[in-house]
Amino acid sequence: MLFNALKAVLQPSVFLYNFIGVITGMFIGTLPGLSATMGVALLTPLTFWLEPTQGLAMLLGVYNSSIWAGGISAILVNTPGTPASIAQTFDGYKMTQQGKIGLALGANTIFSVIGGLFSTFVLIVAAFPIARFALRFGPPEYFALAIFGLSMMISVSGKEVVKGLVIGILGLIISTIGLDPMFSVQRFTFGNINLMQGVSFIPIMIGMFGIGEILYQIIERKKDKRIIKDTKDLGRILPTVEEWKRCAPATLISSIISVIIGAIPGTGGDIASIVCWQQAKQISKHPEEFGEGSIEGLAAASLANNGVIGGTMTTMMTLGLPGDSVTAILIGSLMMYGLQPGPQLFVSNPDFVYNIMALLIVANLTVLIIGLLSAKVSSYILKVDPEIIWIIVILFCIIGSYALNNSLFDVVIMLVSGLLGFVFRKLEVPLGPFILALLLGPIAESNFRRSLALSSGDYSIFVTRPISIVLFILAIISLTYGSIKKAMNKRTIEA
Amino acid sequence: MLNGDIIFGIITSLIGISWIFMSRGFPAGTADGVPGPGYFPIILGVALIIMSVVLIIKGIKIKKIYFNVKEWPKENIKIFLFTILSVVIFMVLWIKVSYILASIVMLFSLGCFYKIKPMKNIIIAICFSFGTYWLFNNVFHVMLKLR
Repeated sequence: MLFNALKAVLQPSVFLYNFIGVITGMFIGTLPGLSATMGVALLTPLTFWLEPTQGLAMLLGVYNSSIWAGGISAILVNTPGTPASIAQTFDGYKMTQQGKIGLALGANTIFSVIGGLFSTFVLIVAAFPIARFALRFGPPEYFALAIFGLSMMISVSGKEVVKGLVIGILGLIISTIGLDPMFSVQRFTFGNINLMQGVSFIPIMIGMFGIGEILYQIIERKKDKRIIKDTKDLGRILPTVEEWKRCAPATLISSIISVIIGAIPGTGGDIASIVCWQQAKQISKHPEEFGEGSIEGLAAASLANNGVIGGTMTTMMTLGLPGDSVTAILIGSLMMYGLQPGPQLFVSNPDFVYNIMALLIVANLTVLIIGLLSAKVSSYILKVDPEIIWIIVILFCIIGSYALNNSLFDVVIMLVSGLLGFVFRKLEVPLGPFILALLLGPIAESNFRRSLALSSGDYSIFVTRPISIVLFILAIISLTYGSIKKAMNKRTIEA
Repeated sequence: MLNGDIIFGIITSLIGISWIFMSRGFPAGTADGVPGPGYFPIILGVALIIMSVVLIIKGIKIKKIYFNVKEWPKENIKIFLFTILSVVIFMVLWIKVSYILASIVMLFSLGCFYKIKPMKNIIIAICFSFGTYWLFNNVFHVMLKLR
């Protein structure tokens, strides 16, 4: 089946869209401030007119490539291109200062691809069994799953758990706008026909991660220009056999950890890369070199941020639960094609599931080829003025949001979301829970009410089924763990 | 100088109150225990109010200033406001006149304000305006012509 899927995705048109996606992702990832989320959000409207496989080829190309390319600016200018590349600054930039630019860029590409391919392998092996298990889920389990997903996203909001909760609930509230899922009663539409189907999700994403980010960058703008190392004389790109051997333990441990972290909703490449970097340091024979230009450290961090993708995709495809903001948009894109991620997708459209797996393999191999061939020119991308990027992003945000439904109302939603996105960023309010809540809100509400319909209004249905009770307990632990740990630490210090 | 947490908390708690208030007008649930359309929004409204109050209390204790506008560079504020204004002008021109004109005006004026070199600016404004119009009209079949 997978072999057939590989044959299907290697059609010239699919390959072309994948290639376009990888190149676009390379630009987006390399330029600090433009995230993978923004890239996928901006390109989603453009894929609306394509076949699902072609559209996904482009979006998965952007996703993989932008995460990989985030390491380029981390290595060359000590600024992570995407949040997931933060740990690559630890050793990557030091290697650049030591004149090992080629090796650093090469290691970033090679280990990112290893991470991506390993996690895709896990997706191939694990997805069907997990989906078969998830087929047993009924409405109470889905409600519990939605709450668990949201709680995970809130719990990783760092110190801002209260803000995460407020913004998460606000997202759930916004998701109630439109027709009621069970009685078809209009709610909070204020007589506006555009709100009958609810608030469009993708324009909100485009606004918050596109316009919001640009406005934030404008306010935070500094006049001093980045000093960019020239990559014309970059030296050797490929690691030696000795370096491969040295990186083997870090590769192994990071591959496993990153897939597990990726599969947990709400986490992402940034967390995975820091955790993997620390773990690689602990098992290394040369821990003192970590942070001083260690190829092991760079390998672990590079591998981890792409290694989460397979895990995230596993959760998204099998449970219909977005692992991060990018997969939240990918769910929106699949819904645009009339496909609902979740266990039923494996029953109704197994061929398409295999196509996605094959597309991930192709995207990684394209990244490998482009990454190794483009190492010499990668510094030129960083020389593009941010102001030019701002102009282009603003224009594409407007047309992209309009193009979804040929609707000016969507443009207005996008612009309002952009302003809100800016305000939220200034207030240090995490955007992830809001986006996730918008997506999970309808799932949570309809399954909550269906559960009560099944139990004739008896609320014990949520706590008498083993899977749902486990998920609720996990949700409570994830929300309270940080506070409990903080209180215990405080007590220890006082004692 | 504004205490962002308090203001944010007040706004979200007002949203919570209004949601509860509006939800009261929705039909009731069925006799067999299925909650009505207003049930879930009311629960969310109550939860939002509770969490907003916690946020306000936290804001009072911490007193963290997020929007210290006085510290923002004046030039950046000007660019920020001009960017918003130019998007508004773009929308008006697009609806009233045409997409291409609206796009050229917005891109060129933003380019001038962002101090992009004139030649580069003209090329970007023209290429992107005509390029996106052609791409969306002919490839994606999106009608950018509104009149």
